[in-house]
Amino acid sequence: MIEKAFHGTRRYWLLLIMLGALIAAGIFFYLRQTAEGLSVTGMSRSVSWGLYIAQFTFFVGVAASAVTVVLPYYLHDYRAFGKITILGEFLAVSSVIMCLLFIFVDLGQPFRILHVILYPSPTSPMFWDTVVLFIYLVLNLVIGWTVLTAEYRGTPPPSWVKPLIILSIPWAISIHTVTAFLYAGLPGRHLWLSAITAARFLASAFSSGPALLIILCRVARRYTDFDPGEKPERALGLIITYAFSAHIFFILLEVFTAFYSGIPSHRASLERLFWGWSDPASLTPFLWTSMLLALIALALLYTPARCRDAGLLIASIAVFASVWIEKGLGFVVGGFNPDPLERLVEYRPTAPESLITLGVWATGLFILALLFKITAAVRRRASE
Amino acid sequence: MEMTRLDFLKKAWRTGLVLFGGASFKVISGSALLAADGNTAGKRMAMAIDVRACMKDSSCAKCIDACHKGHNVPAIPDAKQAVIWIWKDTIDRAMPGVLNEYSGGELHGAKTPILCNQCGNPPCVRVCPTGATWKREDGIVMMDQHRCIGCRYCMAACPYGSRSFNWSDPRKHLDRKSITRDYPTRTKGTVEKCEFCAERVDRGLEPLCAAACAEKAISFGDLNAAGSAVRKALAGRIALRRKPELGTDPSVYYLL
Amino acid sequence: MAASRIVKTGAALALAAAILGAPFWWSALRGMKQKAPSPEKPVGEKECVLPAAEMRANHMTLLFQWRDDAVRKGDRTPVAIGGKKYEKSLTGSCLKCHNKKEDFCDRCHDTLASAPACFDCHIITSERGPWK
Repeated sequence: MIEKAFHGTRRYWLLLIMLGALIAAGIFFYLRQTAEGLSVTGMSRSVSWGLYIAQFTFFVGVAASAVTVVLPYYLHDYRAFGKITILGEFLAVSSVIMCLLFIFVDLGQPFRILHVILYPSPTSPMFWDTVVLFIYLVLNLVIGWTVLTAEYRGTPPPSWVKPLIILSIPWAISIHTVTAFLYAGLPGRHLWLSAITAARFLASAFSSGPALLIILCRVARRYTDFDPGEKPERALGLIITYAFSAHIFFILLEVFTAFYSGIPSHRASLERLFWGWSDPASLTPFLWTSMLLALIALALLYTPARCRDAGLLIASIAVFASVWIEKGLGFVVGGFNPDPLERLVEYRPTAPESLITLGVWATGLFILALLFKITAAVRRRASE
Repeated sequence: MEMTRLDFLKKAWRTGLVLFGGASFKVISGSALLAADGNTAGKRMAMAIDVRACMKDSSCAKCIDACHKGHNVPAIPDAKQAVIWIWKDTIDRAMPGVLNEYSGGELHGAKTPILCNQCGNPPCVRVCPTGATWKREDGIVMMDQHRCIGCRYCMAACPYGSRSFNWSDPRKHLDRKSITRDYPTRTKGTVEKCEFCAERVDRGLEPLCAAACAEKAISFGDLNAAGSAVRKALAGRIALRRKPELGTDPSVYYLL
Repeated sequence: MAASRIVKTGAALALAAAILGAPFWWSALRGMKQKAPSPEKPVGEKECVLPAAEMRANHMTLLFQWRDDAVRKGDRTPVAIGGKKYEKSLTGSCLKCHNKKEDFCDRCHDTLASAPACFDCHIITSERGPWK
């Protein structure tokens, strides 16, 4: 089945070559980072996690969102999702690989990464995150590949796949909960130290993930003969609406607790994020852009525009961008300011940092392109 | 209680040895406060910093110089990516909310040394995914530079900003002619911090910062030993610790 | 024909062996010999912690053991080997005598293309490096 990835239009090969070039650039700058150290990034003693970990956090959410198509289809027999569960699973595979790559490029001593497995630390959420992410990757790879092979052969999938699929449902929830636990248990970081962090993560994941899936389906529809029809997209649109509404609601809950209680440590980070116009390298413009995008998205999602192609696409792009900014820049980077000594320290990703990030995105897209290509080819063959 | 002559002789001999050994040790090292028996069990190493004594010379940096020189801590030109084990900062920044416009007097703007608090309940130890940082029996939070993968989770977890990361090769910022050869440097990509000079504590010495302070503002010792220097410093004076409400149980006390 | 297939297979295998074995027969033909590495022994000391052959084979394991004892277990009690006492310390024991990296350590390490990370942190005299 893999050989199907090697047959494609010129446009397909152009895409792979372009992505390959971005990957090569990323590797080049990563080698520079390995030689010089992480000083080539914009991170600092105070803002010690930046774009890499922010992207990791965001894409764990996208990976977890596979459950939004798997659960309805496999647990509730929602037939409309029949054609896209595998896309959700392959999106999860691509996202988890991106997550693992983001962790790797962020490490100061990446070649010691096996220490996490050789010297397990059960009290560390990072240890558990590594374990559950890895298992989730294997789960989705095995499930996706097995189901696709069955389609290729025109037979029903083997029965042992079903328990794995059922397992992947709570597992998806767990990967993003553990990722939230990385943040939500740290006593000194008050933006993160909230019970609702995990719930926020899940809500944002279940809105940004399906939004990306819709965008990918549209791209596939435009450039391939893949067409799952209207129904799955409408259903995804509903899921996005509810999940995104919950996500915005949770943000407002955080805002209430922070500002009504008036406790300085509770307020400080949120205040810097939304009212820090004059701060060094302020994130405030980004946050309000995110909120504006959210408003646009909600306006579209709560009207009949959601049921129209253009409206749903714009809403999906707005949701994805809004969550990307808020979760990535806002949550992760914003949590470090003010620092433990009450200082504001600026963070801006540098060029090498951005190009390495671009390289990781390109890797994810590359893998996704290969997997979707194989899927489309198998489907085409099956329908002949 | 009945005691045989042999028992008495044994006890007298041991007592004499300890007294003699302790006294001669003091002669050799000049600043011994601890029994150099390598036994860390039952001890809780702690530090008391007399802020008013430190304040007397606001430009003094003897503790910082002694520590950074003795441990080959690099002087990084870019302050954002600095590596610092001990530094001076104001009370307002170290302990927000303690001083206000009506109370505190000359403590406003006064600077005091800030270092790793060697917490009794350290969040950094909990979160480390490889066990590269751990709490010793005597309470000192240690770093294993061989194990650290540089994920910087401990830096996110520390509520006090005590930890530094080597964003670049520290040797680029160390003058080869003035390094301390007996202590290793670190390499790029690992996290480091004050370890209460564990290598000196194990030899019965006090930390370099305490030894270097001209005002004797830094007292160090075993909290569990009633006669130790740190207990003496804490007796009868109010001492604050940084952010105690977080449950970290810091071992560094600030006498205001 | 079966015979020509055997001949062709044989020829292909011979060619593969020739290409893969090139490093061996090429250096043999040109009389290249691997010179045994010659580390310069430190002046003044007759013996190391363990006999030379044992150290050559096992110094890494010994150092890892010392490291784990001293750093992780806090056990810095000197170890008695062959009637002498040694601190469990690379810097404190080994590098006191073996203090010339290029003349001793590098001789074997370079031959074997091994670059142990120890020297990134543990300071050894006469080492060229990125020092200021």
